[in-house]
Amino acid sequence: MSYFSRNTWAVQRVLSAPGLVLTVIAFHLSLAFLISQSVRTAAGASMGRFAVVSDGQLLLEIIELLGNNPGIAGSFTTLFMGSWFFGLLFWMLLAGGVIHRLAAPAPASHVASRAVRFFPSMLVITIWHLILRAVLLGLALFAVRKLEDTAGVVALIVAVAIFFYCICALDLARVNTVLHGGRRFHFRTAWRGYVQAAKSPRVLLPSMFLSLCQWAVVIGIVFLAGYNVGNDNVVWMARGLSAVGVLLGLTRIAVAVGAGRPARP
Amino acid sequence: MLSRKTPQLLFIAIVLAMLAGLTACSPPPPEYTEVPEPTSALRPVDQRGEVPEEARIADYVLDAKLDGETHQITGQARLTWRNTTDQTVTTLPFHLYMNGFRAEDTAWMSSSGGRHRGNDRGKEIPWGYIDVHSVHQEKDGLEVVDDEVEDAPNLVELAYAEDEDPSTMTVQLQEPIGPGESITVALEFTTQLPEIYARTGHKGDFHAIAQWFPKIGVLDDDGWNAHTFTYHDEFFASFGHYTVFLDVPENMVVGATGIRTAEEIVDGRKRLTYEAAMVHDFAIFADPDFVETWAEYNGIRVRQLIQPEKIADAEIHFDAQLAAFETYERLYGEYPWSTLTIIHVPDDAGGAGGMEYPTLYTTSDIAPIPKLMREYVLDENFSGVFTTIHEFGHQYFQGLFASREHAEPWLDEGMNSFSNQIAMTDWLGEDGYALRLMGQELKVNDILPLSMGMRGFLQPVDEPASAFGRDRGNYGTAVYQQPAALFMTLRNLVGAERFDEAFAVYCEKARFDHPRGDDLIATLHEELGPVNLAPEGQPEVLLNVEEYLEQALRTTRRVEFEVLNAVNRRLMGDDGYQRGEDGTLARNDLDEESEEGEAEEGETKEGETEEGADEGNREERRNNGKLSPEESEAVVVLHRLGSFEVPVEVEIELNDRTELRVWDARERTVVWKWPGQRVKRVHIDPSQKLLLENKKLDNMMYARGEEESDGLSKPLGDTSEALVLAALGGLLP
Repeated sequence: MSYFSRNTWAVQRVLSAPGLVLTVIAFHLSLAFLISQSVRTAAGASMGRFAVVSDGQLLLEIIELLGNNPGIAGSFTTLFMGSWFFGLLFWMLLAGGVIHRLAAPAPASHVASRAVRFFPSMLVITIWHLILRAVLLGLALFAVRKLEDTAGVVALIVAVAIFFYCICALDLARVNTVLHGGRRFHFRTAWRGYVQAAKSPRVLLPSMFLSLCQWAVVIGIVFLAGYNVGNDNVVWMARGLSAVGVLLGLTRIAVAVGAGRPARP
Repeated sequence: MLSRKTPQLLFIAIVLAMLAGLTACSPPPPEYTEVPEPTSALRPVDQRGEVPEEARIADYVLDAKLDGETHQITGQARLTWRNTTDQTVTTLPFHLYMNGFRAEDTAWMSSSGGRHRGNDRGKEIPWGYIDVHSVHQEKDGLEVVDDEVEDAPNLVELAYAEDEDPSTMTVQLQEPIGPGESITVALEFTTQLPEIYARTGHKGDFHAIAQWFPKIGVLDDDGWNAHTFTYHDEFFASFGHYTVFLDVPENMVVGATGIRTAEEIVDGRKRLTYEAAMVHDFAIFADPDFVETWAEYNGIRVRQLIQPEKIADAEIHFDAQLAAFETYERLYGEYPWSTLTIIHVPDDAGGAGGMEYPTLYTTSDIAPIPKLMREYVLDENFSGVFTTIHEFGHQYFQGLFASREHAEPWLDEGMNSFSNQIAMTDWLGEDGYALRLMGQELKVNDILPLSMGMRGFLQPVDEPASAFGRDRGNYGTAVYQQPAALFMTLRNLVGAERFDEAFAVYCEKARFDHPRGDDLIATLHEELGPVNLAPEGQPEVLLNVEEYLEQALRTTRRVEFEVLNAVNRRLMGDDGYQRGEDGTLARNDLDEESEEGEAEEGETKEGETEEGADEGNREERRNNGKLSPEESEAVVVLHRLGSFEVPVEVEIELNDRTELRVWDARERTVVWKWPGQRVKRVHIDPSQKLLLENKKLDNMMYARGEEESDGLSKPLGDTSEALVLAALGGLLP
């Protein structure tokens, strides 16, 4: 039986695992810092002894710098994509341990061993899930396109809603694999995540809400960075928001952890 | 107490609220009151100024019937041409521009590859042509009776033949036409419109009928101008009056050059009559889907024919147009015609968009960026409205100042683009932006250096259109942006007011004329003279306008400067052995510490250790790490990287003042020294006057030891870090 009762607040599960939270936050911050250092260094080297005093022309100057040194933009793009890839791998590596730790207190070594043990399973379940997600989104958008005039707006809303629903389904599929003995590599495990999400509004709705908040944080970071280019404090604000995003994400997973074993079909 | 369903209900409410917010209807477009058709094609003389009678060379009476199914025009043209030169002519050359689209071996096709501005030749009706069936000379003139050009018995058949390229033909006269004489010629022709991809043609029911009738060449002191039509060529013709009888399917809404003087429906056909005065072309646009909107500017009727789905944008185009009227009338003289028609082409007929004709132009669409997005993410004041201002500008630059577009395309496209910069800035204000991305702006003038960075300076600006071809992909930069930048640069250097006054002289001379580039250069040189650019109290630095324009227009020289060095050195004094009054050598620096290193701050001399350099700069350390100003000599080295010689302002921040100097840039480098001063920062062209210089990141440097942030690496790094955090936040956990 789980250490936490099903009715325990998901956020309590997260707050009771400060080591885990700090690990994920530290990973995010250090990865972002390392990537930005390469951009800083490349831009600084390109500027050499020259400087600009941006008087409302920062965008023009950035375009000129990147135009003269396309390698900066190229390396950033590569690193940016790389960060996504490594982030994804990192999360799949960590997912088994995170779910295990959110379900019950456990020593770090135990969390680590669970993480390693479930890594292949998380990888395969994620792939199955992504296939299902693509099909679902495709079908939904195809249907929405028939709506003609409002297609753009409705399609956006439907896509976002389905996207969040899929995230909840993935969380549930992973939790089932790690905690409830779900088949570790089977397509049906991923599919059952979708079924369970659809049948469990008390899990789905908080999960979608938390996803929405998480995306609000993401958009917040983008806006913050965009509107405050050149502001000395912007990077610290972004780091703070990123930490909030991690907390929201872990809470979302904790909601799935608290969902319990899925009903047998 | 919350019920169990509260979270679900709350969620549903939020979703519905979002849906309602996103799908909220836009405000309905304003109602437009019809502005009646003017009764005269020209504005009253007190509003437009005099029109020189000698400018009226070629009058046309055109009768055209459009078959909406075959997209063919059956037409007759009656041309009265006056010889206002001192030459006697025995032939009349005619442009048959539509024949450029006739086959793959025409000059236009082979030079364009059957593509224009990204549009490919149509598949259904890929070819267009104009077939002249007969040419007759009318000695006593034809009469127009009941809107019909009546045949007359005294027509004399003339021999004619297409030239080597079918875009021109030559008519042999039976009798020469001497100076001061005139001739009336009647032509019958059929024009097949191709599917639109290069300005003219049709797409479905939409018809862009341009370059559709035989147009006589232009005779000047150098002989006939009747160029073969090639890829980048546009059109050149004499001024004259046009009367046009048009027969189109009844459901067509028509916009055309000039004013409509009659309209009737007969047997399911619409018969329209148009009059245009002192124009050099006549274009017709017809589409059943056009929605009519109107505005007025000082008695000029502005009629906008817009596609129904774009109606909400009509007001923005009107705003841009009316603002452009203000600028152009103020700077370039009165708009002489009483009407102006703005055409919006359908989405699938984009090849007809962005083109000018007398008293009519086609514009392009405003980018469909949702309102919320415009408010908070990406906004721009460029798409659509810039086209509107640009194509209106052509009413002056080529419409009124009818330069030879094929021979000197920069003189209309370039000067027009230059004027567009001013009109856009007038409209949007000095702080207005062309593009704003999350608060970061690109100003209107920023677009020029950006676009020049692509394909600038590959060829001289002053080249005929045919010299550019399509392979270098530099036509737009060389003919539009580069001239705009060079004249904006000149305007910035000599001062806007002074430049505008000089330019107005050219505009006055060029009205209803065929000006040449040399006329503009001579006028500016004469009106501006050598311009002293040095600030008051400094040695004269003269800008020779003619030399500047020669470099800018007829060479591929680039404007490019850099700060080569900015450094504070120890001021050399009289330390060392000096011969005293008694003739013996004695050291006069014994009371001071040993020799001052000559190394620049932060640098080590060749072969010297870091410690040695430190020793040499010990005075710096004593004085908070820096030599005092009295002990220093500020040295600044500037480098003209480009071969374009143009004076440039330089701002030098010294320890006790900021100095603005003008460097004449005749030499490749210059070294400036300020004994007893320290330099903190040097900035070339701080006011960004040289829009011709498109690489400016090397224009500013801090002196060694005075370095501050380079201004770019930190914001770029911070933004990158934030973006990665955002990306990870969306992905993880």
